[in-house]
Amino acid sequence: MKLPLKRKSRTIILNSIAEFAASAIFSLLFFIFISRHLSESFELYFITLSFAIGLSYFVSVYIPFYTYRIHIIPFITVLRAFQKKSFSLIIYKVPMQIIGALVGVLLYQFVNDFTTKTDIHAIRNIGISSVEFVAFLNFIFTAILCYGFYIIRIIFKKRSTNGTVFLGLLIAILFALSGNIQGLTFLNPFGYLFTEVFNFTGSYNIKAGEFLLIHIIAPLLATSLAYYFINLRFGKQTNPFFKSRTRKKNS
Amino acid sequence: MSKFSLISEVIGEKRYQSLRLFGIQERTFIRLLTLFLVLAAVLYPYPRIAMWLGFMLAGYSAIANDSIQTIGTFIASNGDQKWWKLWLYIGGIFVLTVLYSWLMYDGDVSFQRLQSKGFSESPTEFHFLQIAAPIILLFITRLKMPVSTTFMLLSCFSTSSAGLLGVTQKSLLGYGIAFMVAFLVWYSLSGALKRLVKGKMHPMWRVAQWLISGWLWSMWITHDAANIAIFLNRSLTVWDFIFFASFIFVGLGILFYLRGDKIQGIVQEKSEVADVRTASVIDLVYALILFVFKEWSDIPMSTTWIFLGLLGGREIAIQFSKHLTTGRTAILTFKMIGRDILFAIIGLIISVLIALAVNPNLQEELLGF
Repeated sequence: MKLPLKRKSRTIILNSIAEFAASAIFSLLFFIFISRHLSESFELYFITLSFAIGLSYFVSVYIPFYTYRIHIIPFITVLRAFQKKSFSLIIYKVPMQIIGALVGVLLYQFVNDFTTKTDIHAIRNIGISSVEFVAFLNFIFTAILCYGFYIIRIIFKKRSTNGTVFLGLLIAILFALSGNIQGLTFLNPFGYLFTEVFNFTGSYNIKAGEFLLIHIIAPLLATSLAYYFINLRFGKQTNPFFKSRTRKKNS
Repeated sequence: MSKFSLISEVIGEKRYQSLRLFGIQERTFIRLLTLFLVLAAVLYPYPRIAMWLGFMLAGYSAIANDSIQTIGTFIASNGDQKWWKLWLYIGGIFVLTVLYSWLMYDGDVSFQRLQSKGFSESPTEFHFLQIAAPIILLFITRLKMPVSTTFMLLSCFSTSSAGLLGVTQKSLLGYGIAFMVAFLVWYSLSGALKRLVKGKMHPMWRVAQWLISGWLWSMWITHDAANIAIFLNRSLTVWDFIFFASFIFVGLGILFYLRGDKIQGIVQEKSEVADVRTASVIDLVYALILFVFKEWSDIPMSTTWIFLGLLGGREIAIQFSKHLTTGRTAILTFKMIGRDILFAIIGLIISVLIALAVNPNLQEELLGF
């Protein structure tokens, strides 16, 4: 095997493992904190919960790998795949995010059976009857998430702890705004899916078309829109803060 | 080219660069600490798991931090010895000492230190900060700050302010006495000590050092085993004891393999501690002070403060002595002592804040004060 190819394979393997570990940690902490918020024995207010979710994202990215290439949320992976024009990202990252979320949810179920014994879906107590409006909200929040990720990771600080802290804050704000609304799953889509599957009672009556619209089509459209807007606004430019200095140097 | 950064704007470029460098150098360690914090956050509601997690973290952090006082000089002056020889000796003493306490005091490994007021009840539930306290201690140890493990680990379990005050008073007294004793010993015996370290070392010095270090180590255990055992039941079963002793034994192995944690640098910077004869004298005086305090009362106390007092008194005595020399100016010596005191006080403040955050009784007592 040639050296660059070998190095690339190694990077892919390490990134996959890191993505898996990060997704598992994030899903575990995400649902544990929600269940503690819902449980009466823990005094965890919603605003504290939002910060806890942001912190969970930070530690999930920070613990497994120092290069900070972890996405956890699949729509971010799709956005990066569009930007890099490399769809292999989706092939090796998204399955790892799915398996990681599955492991995280299983661990959470184990913990929940012993302690809080709560139904985490009880947190989403703001019901919206219009499917289209829920899809629209999912679209908007996913677009904000993708655009925010680009600004923090690519424009502000490419790969650093600071960037991860700000991403954690972004996740905290988005959770604070959307955590109570039914049907918004953009922050942890696979995690929510698995908790639905494990708690399935047979009385779930959402149609396949509605499910596709809310959880897949709307966020993917939002990701595409975010990519289009980023391209329109910034093009190939990666760091506008250094633009003038770089040009001065070159001239 | 300096990059745009919000933190550098707030704390200043130089501090930001130092912080960044620390983050890069210690990235694996910080990631490990973050993982421990996550584990603590997930597991603290289960008392049976949390107590062992807390014990494991406290075991390593307490020994790593306090190694400067006990086995620090032993490691520094035995750099030529194989690490596993030192480990078997010190580890063996640990097992024998806690076994003695376990047999004599009905399963209690703390030499009845945890029978004193405010600490006598086994914890039945844990607060997140109680499990996080040893993680904070690990971080502080990495910064080479000699904070008191007793304050960091015990204070958050104290059920009353009386327990906390008792520990603080005894520790302050310990600092003062150790400072004066060290000053008197090194100032009055400076001539004799200079003659003692002259020329080639007699082989018997090595034997004496191993014996004194062993005694000091067992004295430290009689005081500070309480800091580790505070997380566990006050009376350990056979299996509990086996896990307790074997975990610390293995942890000591790691410490000896690494030749002490980062805090070992504090020992290396003090005057002439790498010499077996000098190290033995320090250890002997320290062990004697610990022995006196052990016999005097059962209230837990900070051995770190005694050690800092001892080193402070010794450094000042050497500074003003006609026969010995520190190799630095008086201002630098005072600065070094002041820095150690500052770190000890920072540790005390952090531990009191943790204790207040954990314990509603303490909050009420403070508000009513």
